Amino acid sequence: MQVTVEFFGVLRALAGTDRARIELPARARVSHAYRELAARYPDLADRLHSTACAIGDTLVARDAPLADDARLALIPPVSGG
Amino acid sequence: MTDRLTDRALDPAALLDQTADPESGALVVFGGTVRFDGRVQAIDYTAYRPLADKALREVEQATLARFGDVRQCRVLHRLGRVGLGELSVLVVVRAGHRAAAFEAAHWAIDALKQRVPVWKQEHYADGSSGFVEGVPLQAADAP
Repeated sequence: MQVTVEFFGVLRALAGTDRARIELPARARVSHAYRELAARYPDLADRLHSTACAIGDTLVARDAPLADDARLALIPPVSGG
Repeated sequence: MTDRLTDRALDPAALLDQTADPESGALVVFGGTVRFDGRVQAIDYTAYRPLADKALREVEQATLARFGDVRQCRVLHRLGRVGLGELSVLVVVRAGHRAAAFEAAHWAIDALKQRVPVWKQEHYADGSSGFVEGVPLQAADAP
């Protein structure tokens, strides 16, 4: 299945893009997406452990299952305010 | 009602109007402004909007729930390029009395800094820029 990943904050600069389409096996979880991203974007890899992710307005856990065509927002450490 | 996330200049007067409450005796306004630290010329704020808007709303609600004397709480964040001295964030609290108003405004800005997916990119005089380090996003129901 395919999911779209959106990069935010410093991840956008490191990935060189604001979004990417990645191919995952059926019934993949968020953790599989992270592993695929670490492989595809090595400059991001050491940031992923402190990066949260959300689908829509809800944070999702690493073991959450992904649906085909999901849009995953990657949320690195925040610095608002 | 003003949007919680906006790329326009934040307007404290509008927020005061929107929170007008004759039963409140205390008003506290906290404003975060872009500070010159020797290098910064401007700051670019970006957000993951779907969650940022919800998280700001949750900070407002959590503040109201936590401080019984607080009657109004609004929190706004500006996005896009913000110049030196300009407001990046605004917290308005109205409470029956001042103790709760001061405490609640402090709590609300601290909560925002941990719970809202917004990122700060500093722009420097030499043309370079850098993202501020940040803290891992904390979920609303985390301690």
